[in-house]
Amino acid sequence: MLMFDRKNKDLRRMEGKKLNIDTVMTVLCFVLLIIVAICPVGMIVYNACWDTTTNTLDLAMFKEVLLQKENIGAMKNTIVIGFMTTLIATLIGVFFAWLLGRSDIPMKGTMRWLFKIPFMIPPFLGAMAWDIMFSARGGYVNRWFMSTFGLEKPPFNVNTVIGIIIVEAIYMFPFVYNQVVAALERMDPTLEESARIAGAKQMYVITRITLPLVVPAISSGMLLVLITSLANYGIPSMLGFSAKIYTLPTRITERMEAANGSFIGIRQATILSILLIIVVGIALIMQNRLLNVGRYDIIKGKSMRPTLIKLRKAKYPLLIFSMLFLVIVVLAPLAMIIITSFLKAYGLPIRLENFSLKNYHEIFFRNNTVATAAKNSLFLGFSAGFICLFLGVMLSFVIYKVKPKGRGLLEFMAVLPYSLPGTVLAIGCILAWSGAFKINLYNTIWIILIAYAARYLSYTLKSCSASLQQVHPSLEEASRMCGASRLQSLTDVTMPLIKPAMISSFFLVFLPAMRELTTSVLLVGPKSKTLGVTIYQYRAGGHISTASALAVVTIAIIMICNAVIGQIVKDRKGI
Amino acid sequence: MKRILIALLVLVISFSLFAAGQQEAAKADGGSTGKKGSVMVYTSTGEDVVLKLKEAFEAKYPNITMDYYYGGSGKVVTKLSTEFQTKAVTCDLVWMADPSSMITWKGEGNLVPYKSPNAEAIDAKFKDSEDYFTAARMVIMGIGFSTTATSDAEAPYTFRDMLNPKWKGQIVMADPSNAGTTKACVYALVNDPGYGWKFFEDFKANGGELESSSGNTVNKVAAAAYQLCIGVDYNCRNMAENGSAIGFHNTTDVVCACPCPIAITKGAPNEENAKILYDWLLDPEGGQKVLANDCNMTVTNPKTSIPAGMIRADEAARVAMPIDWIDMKVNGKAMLEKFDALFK
Repeated sequence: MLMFDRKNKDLRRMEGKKLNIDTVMTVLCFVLLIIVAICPVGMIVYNACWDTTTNTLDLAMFKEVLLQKENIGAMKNTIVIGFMTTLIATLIGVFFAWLLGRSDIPMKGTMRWLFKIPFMIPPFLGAMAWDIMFSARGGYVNRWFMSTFGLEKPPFNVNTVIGIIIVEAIYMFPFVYNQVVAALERMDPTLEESARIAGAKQMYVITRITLPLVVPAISSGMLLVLITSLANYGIPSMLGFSAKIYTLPTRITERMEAANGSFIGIRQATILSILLIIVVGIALIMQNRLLNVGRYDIIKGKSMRPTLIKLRKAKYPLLIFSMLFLVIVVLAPLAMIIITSFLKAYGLPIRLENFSLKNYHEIFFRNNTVATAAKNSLFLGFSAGFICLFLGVMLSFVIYKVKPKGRGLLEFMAVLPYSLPGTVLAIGCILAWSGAFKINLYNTIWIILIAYAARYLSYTLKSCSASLQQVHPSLEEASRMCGASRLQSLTDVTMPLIKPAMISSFFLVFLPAMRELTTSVLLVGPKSKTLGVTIYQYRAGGHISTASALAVVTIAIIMICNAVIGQIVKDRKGI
Repeated sequence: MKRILIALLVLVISFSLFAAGQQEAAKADGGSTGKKGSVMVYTSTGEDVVLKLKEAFEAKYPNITMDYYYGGSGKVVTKLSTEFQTKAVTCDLVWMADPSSMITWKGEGNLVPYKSPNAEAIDAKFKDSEDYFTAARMVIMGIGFSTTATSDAEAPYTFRDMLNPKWKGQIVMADPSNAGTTKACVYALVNDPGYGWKFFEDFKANGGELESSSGNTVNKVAAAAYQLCIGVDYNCRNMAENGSAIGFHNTTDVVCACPCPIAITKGAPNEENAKILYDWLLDPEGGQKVLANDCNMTVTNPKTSIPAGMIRADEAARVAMPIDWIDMKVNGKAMLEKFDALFK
């Protein structure tokens, strides 16, 4: 417990302030979240329930939509895919986090760098790469296996529920990895040491001491994976479609497009997305229940960096296994995109005579919208990164340290926009920010920025709060006792301790914001085109190899930014 | 030191880009108040096409800037329907790939009727009887084929010939639930006495498969995953021009033509400019000429001079299978369900 009660009036008077910083931050959090998250989501719910043509409350459509057989099937798929993806992504993420965070495995730098790549590839392009390699019909890898081993049937089929789960898991495991590795590197080694002194074996220490201590980080990562998977459109649409596997987000888009321009279709779609919000709400409650059981504030006064565990004989087998895994899941799709980007035209056999620089020539010299798009995306990536970082740190501080009434509500509000498919969030933003509240940002870059801030806030919140829960209150209390103000102890003690998490959470926002598609595609105006939308437009126009070339350029831009910032912040590189 | 550097970096980046944002915000404001001559087009017609049209239009009308939003049909429909819902419309002229959304919007009172002098020459099949919309071009569905797997001589010229057992398991089409033009094509074929539902039963029996969109269908054929597809003319032609291994045949027995209409939105901030653009797009010497000669597109105004090999508008109007768009809107769902039952 804190030694000083923050609500103590005497203390406040002693500091000579009428308003204390905690109250200010709490109020600010509520206000900002209402603007960023509640306005668009509220407009969605309002428009879903309220029939504007007759001005009456209309709940009949809820019943109709929720009881449709196809929608129930889609719901089932979404939940199965969501939970299985979370499970697999967590296993992979925790394994690599332990390996890189606590063992003496070589080539850590290379591996850390590889983990960033899935974030940089637009999901639909990543899924397309998997489809090109492993689709039962004409996938390159399948064809190779069939011709080499004389198989009659293709050995792999990525166009199945299991295929979607695996692709999503390898796309999303870095969420778990990022959270857990930061927590492992900051944990107090004395607990592990005492277990070892008492004679515990290595596996026992890992399963009974190390992992339980990083439960907040694991659960944060899991929650991010779960929400991402539930609301993901790119992967199930690309892989599931030809096999008729629908999830809620693909079904939502289908509803919208099948309505032929009637807003009723959009209403049905938004009702479906309310189902997603309910699932995410349940997951949040489960996470909080889980975290209320133990105590995780393991960064105390006498922290030191934990010792690395020697892998001995297991070192090289584990290294080979890890590198193979990363090459297959991370580099193969990237390589596929790079190869496609050099092809003269999509679908040509991969032979040297079919390669050219035509696509790069097109994006660098012929299309002058690319430069604008790059500038817009950089602006959006940096601004959204900083806004989300600021909001995320403040929110997690309020939720986990100030603990006001309604902190559960705050957290729910913050993850709310992310639990919606990007398209639905975009509709909410249009409904909210084109004059409904006397503010019209529509078709400018600002509406995209506010949408990104809403969408990615949960990344920084989850990342910072996991880290903040590890900081023992005694450290702040010490600084307060030495006379530091609340704000000073926050900026000089707490913030430096969670700095690695802050840096990594900035990148968690920056990387996907640089290539975001599903939200921006409905929000771009004539001058606010982004890189993700430009890639999409090339693809929609049938220029897949040009789209791939632009994706490669985008990835290069992101890597350069990452390296530059990594140099400036030095102490840990990027994520 | 480090902190100062970070702060500096943030400042520089934010300010330089902030300036970019400001500029554009100013421009957007100017557009909506109509002080500056501009017109906003929402379209699902390819961006390369829109850019060519923009260049030609702005050369003719140097005081009017043509802005555009380009996306797949679904995106355009969703964006514009949401605008209608908020009553804050920024789109002046909308251009869709088929009339179905136009009929919805017309029914909901979201379009403005406009009788363009250039629409008079256009056949009634390609325009609304009450002048709410007029097709500026049309999509012709024909047969796309993989040039690596088959040859121009071997590839069929009728949809029926796709049922030949030598193509078993090698034929594909877009899912009509997701592709508007394919839906229209299915509607036309099942109502054609020579084809009917029997054709799709046989198509399925010959190993016919569905892909998610018209674009994907053509891409898969270009990648030789299938040999033949029911494909969109300019998709195939443009890919072939870019060097993909794909060819295209217009069908010779029946023609499936899907009109792509333009319309003026209700509440358009620049309605007068929208009318100028509307006229220009249907002008045989203006938009029609650019579409036919620079973009490989089949146009609707028969007065346009067109390149060799392209179907003339009056010829297309004569041979095209009739499509009752209003009936399709009413009975389309039942048709798609029957289609789904057959394929899924």
